[in-house]
Amino acid sequence: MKQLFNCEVVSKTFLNEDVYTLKLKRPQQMGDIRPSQFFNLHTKAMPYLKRPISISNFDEETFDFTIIIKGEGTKILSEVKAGDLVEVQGPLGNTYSIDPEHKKVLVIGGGIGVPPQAVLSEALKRDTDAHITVQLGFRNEAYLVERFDGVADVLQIASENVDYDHKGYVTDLTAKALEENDFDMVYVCGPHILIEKVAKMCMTKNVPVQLLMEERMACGIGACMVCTCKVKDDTMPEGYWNKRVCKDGPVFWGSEVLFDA
Amino acid sequence: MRKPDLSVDLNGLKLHNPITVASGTFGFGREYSEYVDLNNIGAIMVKGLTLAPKLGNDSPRVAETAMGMLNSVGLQNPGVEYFLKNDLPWLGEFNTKVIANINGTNIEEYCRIAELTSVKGVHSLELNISCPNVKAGGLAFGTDPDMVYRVVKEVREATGHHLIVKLSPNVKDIKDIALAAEAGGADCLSMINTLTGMVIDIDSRKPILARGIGGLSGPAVKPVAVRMVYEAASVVGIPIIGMGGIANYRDAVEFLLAGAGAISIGTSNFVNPKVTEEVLNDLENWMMKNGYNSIDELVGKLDFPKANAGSCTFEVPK
Repeated sequence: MKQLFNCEVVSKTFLNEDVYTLKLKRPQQMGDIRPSQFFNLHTKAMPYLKRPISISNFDEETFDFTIIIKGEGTKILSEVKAGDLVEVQGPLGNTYSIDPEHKKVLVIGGGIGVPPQAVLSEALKRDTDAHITVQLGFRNEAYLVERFDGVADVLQIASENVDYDHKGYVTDLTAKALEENDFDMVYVCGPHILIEKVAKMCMTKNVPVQLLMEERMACGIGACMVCTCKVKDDTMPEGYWNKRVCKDGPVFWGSEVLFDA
Repeated sequence: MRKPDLSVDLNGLKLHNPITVASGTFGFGREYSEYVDLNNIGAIMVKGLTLAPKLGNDSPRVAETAMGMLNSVGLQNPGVEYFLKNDLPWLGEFNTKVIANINGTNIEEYCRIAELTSVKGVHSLELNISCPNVKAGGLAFGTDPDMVYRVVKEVREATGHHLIVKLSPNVKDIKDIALAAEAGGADCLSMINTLTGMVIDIDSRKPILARGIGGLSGPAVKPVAVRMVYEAASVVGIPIIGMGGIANYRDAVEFLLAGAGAISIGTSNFVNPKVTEEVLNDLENWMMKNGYNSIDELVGKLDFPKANAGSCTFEVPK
């Protein structure tokens, strides 16, 4: 039987005005955690539904979520203090596929899609000998950069409003990187528009790409069918089936997702 | 203290306890079997089935609201054949009754699915004439008493299986609809389905749901559901499975007192995947503590005269 956990808040750290990292005590009974997995978080003070949040860091003792305040739920969650309890369900969802044979990989994270890519980048560094290029996109100030500094062979940062490597969209950097390199694999997470753009660029260049999708969820375990992703299916008259982001995903292959249906 | 008898008999459908799970909130049971023992659930109303696999509506399909949510899933499901082949045998391994929730776009389709699902291992059919999230069928059948009577009667003639009719709250008078379903040949009613609602994102000035309007569920709808169960129970002679915002044993007892013979837990599963077992255990403990020996001692035992429930206009066809 899978468990629900009440986890003690170890610390809460604001990375900027809207972004904070919640560090929770990791229960011993909790199973393995893999890159791209998420947890349903809830407290009594929060609105009705749980909030699915990607894991941003973990060790044997603790696990972290780096969260952007987007609405009432993430705002109330930002008000917990060390010692408070947060209800946790997970880990949930599938995981990125990592191939130790890969020699050159590109990791792209935009906005809310940056934190899970830190876990991925560290796993790539640990489990492969690949040359790792990381491209991060922000609207304003960058965060979690130190996590990528240690593992990326090349780290490029784009911001729409702050001067880093590139002022503008991270996809501008991606287009250039795809022109100049032969990547074995691309991993992307972020807003839907970013994922779609990267997926299409990769498909045009025949580069395999894994997409970590985000969608509004209710149950988070595959029962309610509210979070869906259109995936090619030749057996259906429409040519696709609506797969569940929470259970069949959140990672999908670029080659299977239909963006224009 | 002696343990109370939790078994219920819903006009021939015998459950070992009154806790069921509402269609569309529990999939086909697999996901929740990782959190609760399905043997502890009286019956599982499976995800709504259509004749062919159905894609459902575009995303977003969910919007949160105060103590509840709107959904606009649109009956996405793999189709009745897939269910019978892949899910029904698996469900048969558990000591829980299986209720097939069936959905058609016309009466013939309802009848066809009823025939297909009237098989061993399916203990009852739940005729969904109340889904607000599909263009054809669904709610269109469930809001007019004459149409309710017609579709229930024809399905009744198509199958000898136990038949539950799921009612919509989006109607002028629930008593008329309940009477029509009973007159058509329903063995049992389940109510309520979701209330139609809308949530708007004020920044984009757009509805959050891709389809605009969806079905409201969760604790927010409970008082409406309790009232409707009470009203329907005051005019029909068949049992009712009450549902709508049940999150704990106290909610369950409210429905039983209002006249429900069993209860169904829906949206609360999303918030607490162990809610069914918690409600069952808490209900049993509460009954023991308060000296109730059976569920029957609670059903319809509201201390309020039924005469106050008002009159109805539907005339049972001769």
